[in-house]
Amino acid sequence: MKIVCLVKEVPDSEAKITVENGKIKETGVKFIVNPYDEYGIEEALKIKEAGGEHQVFILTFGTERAKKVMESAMALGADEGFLVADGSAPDCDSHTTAKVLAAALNKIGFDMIFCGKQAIDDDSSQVGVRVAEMLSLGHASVVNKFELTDGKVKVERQIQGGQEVIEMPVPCVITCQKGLNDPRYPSLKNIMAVKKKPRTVFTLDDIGLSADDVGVNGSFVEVTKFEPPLEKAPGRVIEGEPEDTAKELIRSLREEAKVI
Amino acid sequence: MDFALDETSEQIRDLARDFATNELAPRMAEIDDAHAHPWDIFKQLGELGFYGIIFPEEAGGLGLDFLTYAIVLEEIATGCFNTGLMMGVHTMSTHATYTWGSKELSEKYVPQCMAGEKLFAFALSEPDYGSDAAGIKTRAVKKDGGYVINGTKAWITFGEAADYFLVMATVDPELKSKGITAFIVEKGWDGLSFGEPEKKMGGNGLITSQVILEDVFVPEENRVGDEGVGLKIALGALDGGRIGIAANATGVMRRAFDESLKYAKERIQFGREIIRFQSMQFKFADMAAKIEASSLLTKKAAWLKGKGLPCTKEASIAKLISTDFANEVCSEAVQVMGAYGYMQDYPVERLLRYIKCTQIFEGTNEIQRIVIAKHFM
Ligand SMILES: Cc1cc2nc3c(=O)[nH]c(=O)nc-3n(C[C@H](O)[C@H](O)[C@H](O)COP(=O)(O)OP(=O)(O)OC[C@H]3O[C@@H](n4cnc5c(N)ncnc54)[C@H](O)[C@@H]3O)c2cc1C
Repeated sequence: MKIVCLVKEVPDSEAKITVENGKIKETGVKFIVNPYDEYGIEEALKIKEAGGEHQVFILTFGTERAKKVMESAMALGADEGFLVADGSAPDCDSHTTAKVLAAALNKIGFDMIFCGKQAIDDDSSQVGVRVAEMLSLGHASVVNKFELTDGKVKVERQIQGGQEVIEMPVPCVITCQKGLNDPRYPSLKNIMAVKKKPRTVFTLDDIGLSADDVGVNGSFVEVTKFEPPLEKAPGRVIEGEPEDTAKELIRSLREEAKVI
Repeated sequence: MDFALDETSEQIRDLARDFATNELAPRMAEIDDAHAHPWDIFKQLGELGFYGIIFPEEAGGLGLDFLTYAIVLEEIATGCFNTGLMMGVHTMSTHATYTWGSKELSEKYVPQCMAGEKLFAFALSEPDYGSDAAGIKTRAVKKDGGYVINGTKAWITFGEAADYFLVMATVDPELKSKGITAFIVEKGWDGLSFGEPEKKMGGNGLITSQVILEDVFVPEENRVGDEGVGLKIALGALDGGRIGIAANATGVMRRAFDESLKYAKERIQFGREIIRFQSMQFKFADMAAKIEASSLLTKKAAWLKGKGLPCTKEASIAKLISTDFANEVCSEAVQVMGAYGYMQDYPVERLLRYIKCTQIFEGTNEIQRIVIAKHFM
């Protein structure tokens, strides 16, 4: 099986994000593999290690810079890496990103696709499902249990009040939730091996797309600006006798916070 | 001189940092209080490949340079000093075997140690011979295709936890240092026993004990290098070992700095965070300067060693300065945290208790000064 793991380059969750002129400032920010994508890679590697003829591929869409993140993802033990490199990547909405990934998937081939349930930067949670729809594949999102037997996938996902169990044939798309597994650390050998493994960089042309399909041209959604979250004002403790504090609470909720 | 890491080494440094932050730092106290060998961590580091950094690829290692190794050791020690020391000593014994042992010996022992399946101790010191290592009395007498070894080794890191011991013994006390020879002894061999684990001031995540050899028969093929080169092997290993201790001390300082800075930004006295007091800021400025200086000296020695250039003096300087600074920094970290710092519920008191030994082992800091002075006498 060709198992393809979709991997996005995101800013490190520890990174201090600053906004300048409505855009996120990227200098000094470290970029990492989207943590939810690691669950997908782990699941793919587990399938491979369980035996059989399997290959694990990493597929990333980003700017040239994302090559490093694609390689970090490969260092977990993948066989091959693919990057669709285009400067328009930051301006692509979920629809366009999915279009690019679907085109690349058609180019490299696939029997199974893993993806994170969301990216920790824009949190749109759409790309995996959109890719599946574009490729007319079955899909299950926010999966926390996965099993593969005789070409059939059985997954579980948490829904209100219980677990939902879904079965479908491969190929299909799974978007992975925390708890699915315990992603490994890359071994030093695998880190070293990446540079000896095949790594392909596609242009849009290579996957049959053009500049009109991507970025602001191809997107329905345009991000007009980013704003840092408002500083939260510190809490206030109202002290005194219950009768007075209750009155004061009601007053401040009504007059200051204006929520009642 | 260039301390910039290439992309691969940088990724390995990041891995060491992530591992230290996520797996080691939260367990530093638990490991230190265990008074037992941290086997799970030992094995995990082996599986990830951390013990193979400086071994060439044809030996199953990663073929990376000593600079990468030192940088990784510093990161690991930031998470857990016991783990850092473990990695340093284990790698030192394994690497000495690879460098000086026969091909067969190397093939037999090195891969298992590199994989973290077997633990390798370094046994040079004796109760009556510490700094004066050339005087060791452990005796190896040739007999029936091998040697019979008698003697007592003292303060051996890992103690009875180790599977293998690189034992220095003399084949002829008359020859003084030229009689010292290195042997690999395995746990379980007749005549090998251990003292009670020593009760120590700190560093209790690793066992330290005597290793007692009574008529232990060691086959000739387990001799590492020729007769008489044992001290050269030991001192050569210590060049690398000292850089390792310098990296360890630098990592410990970083931890002391981070923990006490976090506290200083939260602790309020006289209505303000104590970091607002200039005398507190100056403490942190001094600590930061000491960390930077130690890190650079360590990297310089490591870079020289990686290039195969002479580094005995630089290794001693790095060890001397880093461990002296580390003692000052750990003490200041406790000071910044006041009574909390002195309590075992907070992390810095164990750093202070541990860090003292870095001025003692792998050559006391007085011995480092002797080594340095030799270069201008
Ligand atoms: C926690 C710990 C772990 C250890 N692990 C190991 C291990 O794994 N393997 C191993 O072989 N050893 C190990 N050692 C032993 C260590 O290497 C020795 O303690 C060290 O070499 C010093 O020897 P000593 O303790 O006998 O001190 P001594 O040599 O007796 O020194 C006592 C004091 O005299 C000073 N001194 C000695 N000679 C001179 C001189 N010529 N000029 C000026 N001052 C001098 C010393 O600097 C020191 O201050 C360990 C020690 C400790 C504390």
